[in-house]
Amino acid sequence: MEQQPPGVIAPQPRRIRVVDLSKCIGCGACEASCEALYGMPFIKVYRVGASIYIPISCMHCQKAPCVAVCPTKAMHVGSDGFIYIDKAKCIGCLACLEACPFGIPELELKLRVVTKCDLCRDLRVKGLDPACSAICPTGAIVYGLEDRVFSEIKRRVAESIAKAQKETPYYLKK
Amino acid sequence: MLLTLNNFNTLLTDLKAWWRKLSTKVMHFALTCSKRTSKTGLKVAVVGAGVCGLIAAGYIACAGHEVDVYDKQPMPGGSLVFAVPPWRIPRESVLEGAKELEERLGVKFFLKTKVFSGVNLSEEGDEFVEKVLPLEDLVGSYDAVLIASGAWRTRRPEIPGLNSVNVYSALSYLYYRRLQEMNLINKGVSIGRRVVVYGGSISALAAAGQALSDGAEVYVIYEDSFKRASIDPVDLKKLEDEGVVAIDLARIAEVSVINSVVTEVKFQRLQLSSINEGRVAIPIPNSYFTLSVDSLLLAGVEEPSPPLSSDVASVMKIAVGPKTILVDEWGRTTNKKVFAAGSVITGLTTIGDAVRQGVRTAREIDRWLKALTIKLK
Repeated sequence: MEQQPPGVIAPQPRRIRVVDLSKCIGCGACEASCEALYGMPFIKVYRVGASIYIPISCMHCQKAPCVAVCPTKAMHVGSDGFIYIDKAKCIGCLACLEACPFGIPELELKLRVVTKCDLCRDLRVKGLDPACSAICPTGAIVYGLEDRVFSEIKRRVAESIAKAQKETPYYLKK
Repeated sequence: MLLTLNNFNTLLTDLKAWWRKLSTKVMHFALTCSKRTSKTGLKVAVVGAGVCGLIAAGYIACAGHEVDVYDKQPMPGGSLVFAVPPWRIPRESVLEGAKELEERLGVKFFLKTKVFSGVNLSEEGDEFVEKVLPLEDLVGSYDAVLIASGAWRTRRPEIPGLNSVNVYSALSYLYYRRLQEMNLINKGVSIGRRVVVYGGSISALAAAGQALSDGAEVYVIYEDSFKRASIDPVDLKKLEDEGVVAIDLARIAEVSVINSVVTEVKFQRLQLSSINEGRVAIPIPNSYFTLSVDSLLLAGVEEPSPPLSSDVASVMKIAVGPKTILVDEWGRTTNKKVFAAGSVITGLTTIGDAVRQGVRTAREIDRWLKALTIKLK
């Protein structure tokens, strides 16, 4: 195997969670399973506008602003690429909330430190999917290896284009 | 290996099946483990294989207990399979999830088996029952019993004529449409061209959507204001955009029946007015309108279907309210071996609520069983 120069980490196969909004029917199973497992929901389904449901949860950004602004380095990037909070270091200043474009960080009821989605780290170490993705009845929450997730999303788009083609009346076809 | 046309075809079907398996979504009901590792030797019975029962079964099996699931239907899944249209939730994702529980977690399914004690009231799905088990037997032979039997009973409003042949409950209409799709019955329900859905609940909207896709002209009529209904106004707006006529503040005044078929329904308009510091809908005199109908679907009449009647409940020391079993916030009944969760407690509820209650009660059952093992030692 090729020797890596010191300080350079070989690219690891990363996992990712993507929410396919076109598949979400707003049943709230993700929110409920998260709340049941962790006491508070780290994914919440909101409904805005005409019949569109948007589940909001930590995006685990690749260039996470919350990590950049955290004064105590409590918010950090884990070795698997997801964003975690070290509750012992957190001072509850909510700088992360100010920086977060999605308004994700929340204060814990008792400890008064920031808490947020860790994509079910306890379940993932056992080789399981995050609860929200596991229970989603329509497959709107896709979790898995990056390349597979990206190609699954494209496959769904291809399916809908094929369906549209099939249903287009003949007089509209060239 | 010689690649003949025949084995090439088998290879192709194998590949297709493999690809389908890869791309279909499975509801993993066991959130906390992928297979059962520990064995406590304790046994739990779950009555009802709906979403609440299945997710509870997954949690309890992961905790190491043995789980048997009983359901009167020929397939697990409950309302997710037998009421929700497949274009909203793919049936396979639920059925595969139940199969996964069976194969990986050793959950045993006893289908076409109804658990019931006492005076039987008719419910949807009774035609598939091959065996009836009394609830006392389960409580006797298991260490804990979870009742998650849903809301499959229909209460008809006391208006003369509503027992005619073309009057269905919204839930049973959806149910028979699903059975028809799955070829489980020969003769389906035909609702005709003009359908009135009477009610303002989740099931009203679901039935209206189904009737619309069956090609009917659909009216949704509600006796109160839609603003005060339990439905999402956006859902209603969407249906209205698709052609459903929605009228609120109107109630059935009279039903004309010819040869036990409802042909015309006379409605009376209502208005909201303040009586006793509350807004009450009161009828407006001489504000009648009539609609000729081919069928009438009653929504919001679903009631919990607990597996016991009240006389048996008192013998079993399970406290019951006017409609269903009483539980505390953890899903415990007054009989310490019996727990209950889901639509059987709250009336027809959302999938999210069923999941929440299922996991919460399953955790309570696990706690109780663990306490039991400590005592035994």
